[in-house]
Amino acid sequence: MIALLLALACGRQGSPPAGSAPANSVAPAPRPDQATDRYGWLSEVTLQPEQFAEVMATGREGWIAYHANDFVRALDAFPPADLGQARVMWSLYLLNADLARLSGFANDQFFSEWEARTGLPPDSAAPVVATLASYCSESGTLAGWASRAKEGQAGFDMAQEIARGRSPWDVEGSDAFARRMALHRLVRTEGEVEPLMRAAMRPVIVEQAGEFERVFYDPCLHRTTADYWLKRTADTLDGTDWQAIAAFADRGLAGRIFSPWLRADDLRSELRANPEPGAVGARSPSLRAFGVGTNPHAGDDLNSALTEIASLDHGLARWRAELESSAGDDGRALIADLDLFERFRQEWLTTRARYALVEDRPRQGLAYAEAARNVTDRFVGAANGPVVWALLAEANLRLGHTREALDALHILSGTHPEIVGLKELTGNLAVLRGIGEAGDSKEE
Amino acid sequence: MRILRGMLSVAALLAAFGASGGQLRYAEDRAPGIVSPLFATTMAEVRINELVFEGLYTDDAELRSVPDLAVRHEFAADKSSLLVHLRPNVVWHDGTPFSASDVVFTYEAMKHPKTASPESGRVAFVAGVERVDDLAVRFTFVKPEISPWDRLHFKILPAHRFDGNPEVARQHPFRQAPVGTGPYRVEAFQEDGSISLVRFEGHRQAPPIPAVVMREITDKAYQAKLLIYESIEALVRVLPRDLAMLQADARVALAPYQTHSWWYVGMDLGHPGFAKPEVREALSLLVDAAALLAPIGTGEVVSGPFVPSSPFYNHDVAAVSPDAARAAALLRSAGWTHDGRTWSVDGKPVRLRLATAANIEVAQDVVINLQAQLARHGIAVDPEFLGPAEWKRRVWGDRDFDLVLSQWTFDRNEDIYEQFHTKGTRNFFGYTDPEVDGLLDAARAATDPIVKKAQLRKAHAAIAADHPMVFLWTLDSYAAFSRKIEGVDVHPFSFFTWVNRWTMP
Repeated sequence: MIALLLALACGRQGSPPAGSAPANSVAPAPRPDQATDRYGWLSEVTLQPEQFAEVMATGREGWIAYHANDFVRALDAFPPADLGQARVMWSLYLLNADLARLSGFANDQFFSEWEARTGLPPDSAAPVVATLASYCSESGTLAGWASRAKEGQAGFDMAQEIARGRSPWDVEGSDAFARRMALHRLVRTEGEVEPLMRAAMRPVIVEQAGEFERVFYDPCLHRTTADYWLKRTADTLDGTDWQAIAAFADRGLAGRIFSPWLRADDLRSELRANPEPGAVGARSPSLRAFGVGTNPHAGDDLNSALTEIASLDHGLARWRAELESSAGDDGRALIADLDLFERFRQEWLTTRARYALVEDRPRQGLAYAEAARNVTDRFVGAANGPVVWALLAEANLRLGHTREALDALHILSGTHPEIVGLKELTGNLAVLRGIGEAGDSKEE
Repeated sequence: MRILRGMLSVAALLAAFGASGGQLRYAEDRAPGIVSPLFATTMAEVRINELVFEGLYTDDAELRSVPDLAVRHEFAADKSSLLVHLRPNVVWHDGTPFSASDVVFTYEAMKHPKTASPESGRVAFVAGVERVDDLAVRFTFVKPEISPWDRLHFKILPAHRFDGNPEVARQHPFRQAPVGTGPYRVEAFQEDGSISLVRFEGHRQAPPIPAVVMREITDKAYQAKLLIYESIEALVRVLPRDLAMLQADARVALAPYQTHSWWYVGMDLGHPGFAKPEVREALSLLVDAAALLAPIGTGEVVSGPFVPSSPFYNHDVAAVSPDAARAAALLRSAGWTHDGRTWSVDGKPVRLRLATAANIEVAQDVVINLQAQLARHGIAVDPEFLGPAEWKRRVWGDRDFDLVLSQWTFDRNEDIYEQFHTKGTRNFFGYTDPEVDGLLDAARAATDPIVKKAQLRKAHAAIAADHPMVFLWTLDSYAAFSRKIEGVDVHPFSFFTWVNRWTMP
């Protein structure tokens, strides 16, 4: 695969060398003809490999890394302010927004269930962490938790300020919480994310509980990093908010390849519908040809999701057969070596899963996320992007399958160690739900 | 028999299995040794018990405890007792009405020392069960409980089939004529090891699928082919190398079935040779777990008694890396001698018996490779492939082994008490460590989840340092179904819990 990418990108068609053209200076691509536009970027790559080679030439290493779902490497590899960078930033936004949603849900469940089940330990900073978590997930339980914080405790002042309507990163102080919030402030005001990412590996606060330690990690990490990547995406595309990604529709193949929107019109149509940002692509008109991507049925009906997945697979198989019969050798090689159809399928299914989850249809969300997973690969990589694992974790968590959510987070933590806090939190919730139980075990 | 079945071609198997005829036919690597919840020790038994028997409580789709044979309860204010009202109009598969006496009997049978149920640990928290009336029982607890209904999932047995005598022998005829209240009743034990079940029409929620057949198919390659050729409808564990083929097949749907399982080589710690910690550690250092894992599938090598995704897994404890030189030094320090080819103790060459289940082909592959690994390092191993009954007798009963290759599977609580506590009912290795006992006791009593996590991570480290077994790996695990079955939702441990919602048009 890599060899093919390199061959194409190294100018078999005499393409220009990788440059540093900013995102807003990438020339609009010529409008594809009817044949190549039929299946959007799938047909463009397959039927016009020279266009693909031109895209690769804008940042070969970046595209290779992006295809491998290695966002950090891709970001470094693309030229500054490049369209490719904007694509990576948007992917990082989606991942972190998924993690923020998951973190909010898990925190909300954890603190409320802990309180109900055994009561929070006295003299713990747990109410402060819950206050902070509530602010960052907008769960509505903020005031209740803030009132439980005890004067003199680390984070007490911050909890009270949050209850009065201030954002935690605007509260200055010297305790452990204030120091961590100062790092959030640094991200939000100066755009410096590295100090916060380094700190994410450590708990915000460590308490002594007998001979053991009780640790709490930062419940706002992913909220801030999601906001950060969204802002950087918009800035890079010369926009002001998430709708700046409309620019992807005007930048030819580079704005669409490996995305859930096949054609520029798909993206435009989605933006007109003004959906949840992460759901852009979930209702792309291109897929309506085989009855996929329509508005979902009311309710969390599993069978309708499974039927849609089957229709998608049937339709994509037909498209693939058509393209393989009409493509040249390079086109056919690209289909196979880049797993083009598998990649589009996963991008679309994860988008559809996210759409289901934000609309509180977790059974459907799990069905889409499970279908998106390539079961032959147990890591984050080209076969399974990080959002596959994040969405699997969220869907399982929302369905009460907390321990199964940990399986997905464990895999994600292999490439994204900064999720350690989220993993510990989800583990805490899984343990809490088994408090007082004796488990069963058997030989296989 | 196993060899004969192994020689059959897929075509012959297809012919033998025929068409579904409205049955859900699922494949197990090995048939349940016994269909009685009192004596269940394997996952195959858990799965079939889930079809035949019911508990007072079960899991709903979101894994919350909900009444099953119970209908409601009254929890004492001091949390020391629970009055459980039982579901009326429930009958056993033989038509006898279910009543409170069955619940009392089950508890007494599980706890009776002469029954020697490996499930006795599940009722250790109960001080007594009293029949209040025909449809009510009161549980009193050893100490106040938080949510005792979460612990009352064990299966209820029919007292009348045992004449009310809680001293139940393993050989009791019930094992060949099990009677439950569950959605399926056992129709026949077939000569080929399969078990036929039919829908229990007297069940309050009779399942849509009229019949289920459990088939023992020891060759996993055949299992996948039979599924594709529509000669079975489900297989419980997909061999990792078959995943790509099955995922690509439009007739097949995969379902994650991660049961938090890990493989190990256990040692008889009562054996004088394993009394010395240097010997146990050396054995760990001589085993190349990654090399043993590679031929059988994808997974992750583990460093202790939890899977790496567990909240209790201690990531500060590294998995043991093979180190023959260090192993040799340890063995010499334990008094072993090496003549350049083989290790000896007291002048006798070391020869170890390694037992594993006879009808799990993957395990047999591992044993053969493990034998070769240890032979290269001068330790002779005699493999022993034991059938289910022999396994239970020799390993669980008589502890007649040097080494065992097996795997433990845990529900979502990943409770290792029974394996590693001195009093554990599954601790057939004879492991005992006061520190670990203390940690496991404390973890069971913990009310702070973060502290419980820390306690069990410390237990992980302590157990790993003791090397009571060679910890091997956890495997990725999926079940596979024919798409003819709709509405499939697999319970992450018991598998068939929600079978009432499965349909097969």
